[in-house]
Amino acid sequence: MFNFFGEIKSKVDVDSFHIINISNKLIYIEGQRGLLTLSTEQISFKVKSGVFIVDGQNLSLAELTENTIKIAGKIKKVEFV
Amino acid sequence: MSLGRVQFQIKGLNQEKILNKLSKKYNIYNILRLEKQISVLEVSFFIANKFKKSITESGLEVIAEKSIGILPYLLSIFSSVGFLLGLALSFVLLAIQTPFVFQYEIVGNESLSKTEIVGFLKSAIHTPKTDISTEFVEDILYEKFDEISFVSIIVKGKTLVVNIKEKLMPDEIYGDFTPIFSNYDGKVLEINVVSGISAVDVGDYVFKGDLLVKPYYIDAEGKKHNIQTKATVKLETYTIGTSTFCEEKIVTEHTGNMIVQNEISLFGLNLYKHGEENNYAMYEVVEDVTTFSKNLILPLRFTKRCIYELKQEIVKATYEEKEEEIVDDARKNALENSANYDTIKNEFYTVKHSCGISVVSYVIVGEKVVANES
Repeated sequence: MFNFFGEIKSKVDVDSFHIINISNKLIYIEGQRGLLTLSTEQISFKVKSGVFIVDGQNLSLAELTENTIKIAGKIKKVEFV
Repeated sequence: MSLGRVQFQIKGLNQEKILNKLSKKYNIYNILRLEKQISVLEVSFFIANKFKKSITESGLEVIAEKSIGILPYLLSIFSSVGFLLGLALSFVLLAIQTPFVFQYEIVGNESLSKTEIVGFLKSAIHTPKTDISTEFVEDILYEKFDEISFVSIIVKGKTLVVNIKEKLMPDEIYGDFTPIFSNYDGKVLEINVVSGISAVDVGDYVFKGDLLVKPYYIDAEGKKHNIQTKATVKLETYTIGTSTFCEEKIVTEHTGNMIVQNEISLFGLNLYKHGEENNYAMYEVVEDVTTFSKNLILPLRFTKRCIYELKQEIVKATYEEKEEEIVDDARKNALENSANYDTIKNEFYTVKHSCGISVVSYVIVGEKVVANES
């Protein structure tokens, strides 16, 4: 999976963040720059060029590291502002 | 799958900012906001203490803490006093009993029993296994057991392994160590001992029950060893049959006259009687009683009585007239008792006369093999 993104990055010349939505149950983000809000209905976090807002139900942070986030739960909307 | 994590329940404001700061140093898992100011999160077991310190330094309060996974469970066991004491005791016991031999393994024994050898070794070896001299053990085994031809000893862990090879001993060494006794009175003609020691010599007179062969032998060192007796012993023995003759004797015999009487009785009372009166001076009575009724309510008995007249006469005869008959009679008596003889060597008789009475003693001399095992 990450080799695939590596290949795309080399072609498209982007290198800020990656976001993967797996069946609207898990979102994996690389390149996060800080958590903004945390609740069971909404989680938002910063990336290089904006803010991602994830709405849903029973949301939780399955993993939080220096620059990755895994959001688990029932995801209804992912918004980039 | 992690080996172990610690779950913290935290309370406070600005949790997102603090989590951002902490996430730069630690990986945080399963963060869930329970209420406005309360969240739960998990970190690895190995960094839990440092993380907790960081959380409290950041201004958040740790409300609860819970260990998850196998590793915390194992560590809790290993930190329990009872477990550590038991472990220490096991090591102490192991250290104490390791130098000693506790098991014996015997290989190669056939006639010797393992119990016998192990019992002997246990009584003979009292030193720690590092001090056991295998040569010493081999020597004492050779000395104790004659059956051992070769033995080798090794100490393997806590086991003393004894590998023996037994001598090929003849069958007489094992078995029933009973002596041979004589079943007859007589004279020893031959004695050939295969195993055992002879208790008699040729020409000795023995009685029934006397010991003929002993069930042991004595080696060059004067040591006695039990052995199964095997020997051939031949005895000259004899039997005597007697017959007595009287020159005058009274012979009682029937005259041929007879009276028959019939009686019917009930409870001992004669109800009916028929027959002649008995007027014989000398007689013999033969009665036959029959009970009529099958049950004993009325025990009617029928008695048939036969009365035979007897007479006595004095019969005179001389010994010479009856000699053949008398000697033959004595011989028959002697032969009855000598039926088991292997051979009959000689026969003779003696006569003793006294006051008109002659006693003939007929002797049969024979040979009998009382033991024959080769």
